[in-house]
Amino acid sequence: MSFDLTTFLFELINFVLLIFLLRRFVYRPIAASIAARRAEIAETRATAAAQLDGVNARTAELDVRQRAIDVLREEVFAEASADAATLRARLLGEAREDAVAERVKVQSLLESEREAALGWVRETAVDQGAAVAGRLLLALAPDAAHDALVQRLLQRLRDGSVFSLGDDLDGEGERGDGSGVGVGGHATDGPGEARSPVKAEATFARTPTAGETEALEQALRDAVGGPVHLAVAKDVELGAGLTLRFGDRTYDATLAGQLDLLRDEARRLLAQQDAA
Amino acid sequence: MEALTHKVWLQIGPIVITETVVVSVVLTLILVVGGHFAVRSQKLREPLEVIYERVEAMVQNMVTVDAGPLVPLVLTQWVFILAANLVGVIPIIASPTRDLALTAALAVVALGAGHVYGFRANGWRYLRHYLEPNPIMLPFNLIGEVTRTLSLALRLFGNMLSGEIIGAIAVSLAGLLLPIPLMILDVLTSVVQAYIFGVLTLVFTASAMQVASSATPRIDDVPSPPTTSGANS
Repeated sequence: MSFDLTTFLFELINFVLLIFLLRRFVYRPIAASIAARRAEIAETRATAAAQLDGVNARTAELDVRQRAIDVLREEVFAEASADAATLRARLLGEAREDAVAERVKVQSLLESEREAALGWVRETAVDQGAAVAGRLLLALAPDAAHDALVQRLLQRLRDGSVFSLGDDLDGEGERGDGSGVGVGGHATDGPGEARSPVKAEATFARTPTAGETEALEQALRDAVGGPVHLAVAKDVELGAGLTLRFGDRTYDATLAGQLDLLRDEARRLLAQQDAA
Repeated sequence: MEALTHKVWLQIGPIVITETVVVSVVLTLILVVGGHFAVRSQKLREPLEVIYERVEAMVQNMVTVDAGPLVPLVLTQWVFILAANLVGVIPIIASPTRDLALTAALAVVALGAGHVYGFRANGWRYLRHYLEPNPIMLPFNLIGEVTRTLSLALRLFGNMLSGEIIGAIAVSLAGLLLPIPLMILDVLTSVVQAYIFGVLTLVFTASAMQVASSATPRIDDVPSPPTTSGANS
C-alpha cells in the first residue's frame, strides 16, 4: 500500500474533468429535456386549469340558467294547473248539464214507455176481461145469451126502432153510412107498383132454429111492410146472437158486438178516470 | 501481495502513470462517450431521464436545501465509483478504488465541493461555522474536516482493498470456484460503498450549504425524508 502523489493528482484532475464532461454532455441535455417536459406539463396544467375555470364558470352559468328554468317550469306548471282546473270545471259542468238533459230525456222516455205499458196493460185487461166475460157468459148460459140477443133484435124490429132512427139499438150495433135504405125508402115506392122483395142477410152464431128464422122474416116483413128475402148464415165466431145485414146497413146483435161495446165503455170510463 | 501494489504503465521522469490512472481514464472516456451517445439515442434517452429524475428526487429527499446543483456531483460519484469498483470483477483488471490515491482524490473533491457550495450559499459567513458553537472549537472543527475527508478516502479504499485481498487469498487456498460467492459479495459491497460515498458527500455538502445558522454538521444531521416527493414541484 502506497500513496502516489502523481496518481492522486491525475485522479483529481480526471474526476473533475469527468464531472465537467458528464455535466456538459449528459446531465445538461437531460436536465434541459426534463425542464422542457416539466414546463410543458406546467403549461398543460395551466391550460387545463384555465379550461377548468372556464368549465366551472360555464357550470355556474348553467346552474343559474337551470334555476331560472326551474322557476319558469314552476310558473308554467302552476299556470297549466290553473288552466287544467278551469277546463276540468267547465267540462264537469257541461257533463253535468248533459247528464241532467240525458236524465230528463230518459225519464221522459221511461214515462212514455210506462204510459205505453200501462195503456197496453189496460187494453189487455179490457180485452181479456171482455173475452173472459164472454166465455163465462157462454159457459154459464149459452142458450140464454143467444136467445136474449135474438129476442131483443126481434123486439126492436117489431117496435120499429131499428129502422126509424138509423143508429144503434140500445146495445145492438149499427154499421154503415147511416143513409142507406130505410123503412121509408121501401115503404114509399110508387102506388100500383109490385114490390120487389127486400134482401136481408142474417148471420147467426149457431144454427138457427126454424122458429127463429121464421120470426126474423116475419119481423122484417112487418118492419118494411113488404116481402123480404132473408139469407141465413152461420158464424161461430160471433159467440151468440146474430148480425143482420139489411141494405147497406149491418145490425149487430151478437155477443161479440156486445163485448165490443163493453170494451168501448170500459175505455171511456178509464179515459174519464185518467182525465180526472 | 500483488493486490497491494500498483502496476506502473509508464514513467517519464518523476511522472508515473499507474494502472489506476489508465483504468480511471478509460472509465472516464467510456462514461462520457457512452453517456453522450445514450443521450442522443432515442431509446436510451427516456430511461436516462427517468433515472436522473429518480436520483434528483432521492437527493432532494435527503437534504433540506435545494439539491439541484448537487445532483451532477453525487450522480457522477455514484456512477464512477460503481464502475471503478465493478471493473475489478474482470480478472485482468485491478479495481482502481483499491488505490488510496484515487479514493483520496474523490474525498478531496467532496471536501472541495462542500466548501465551494458552502461559499456559494452563505458567502463569507460560511467560515463562521468553524467557530460554532464556541470559538474554542475551531481546532476541533478543523481536525473534523480533515478526519472526515480522511475517513471517506480510507473507508472506500479499505473496503475495496480488503475485498480484493480476501478474494486473492480464497483463490490461492481453494481454487477458482470458491471465490465466486465472494465475488458476488464483492459486487454487493461495491454497490453499497458507491452509494455510501455519494450519500456522505451529499450530506457534507448540503450541511455546508446551510451551516450559517447551525453548528458543525454531523452525519446525524441528515434530515428525514419528506413524506411527499418534491421532485416535480
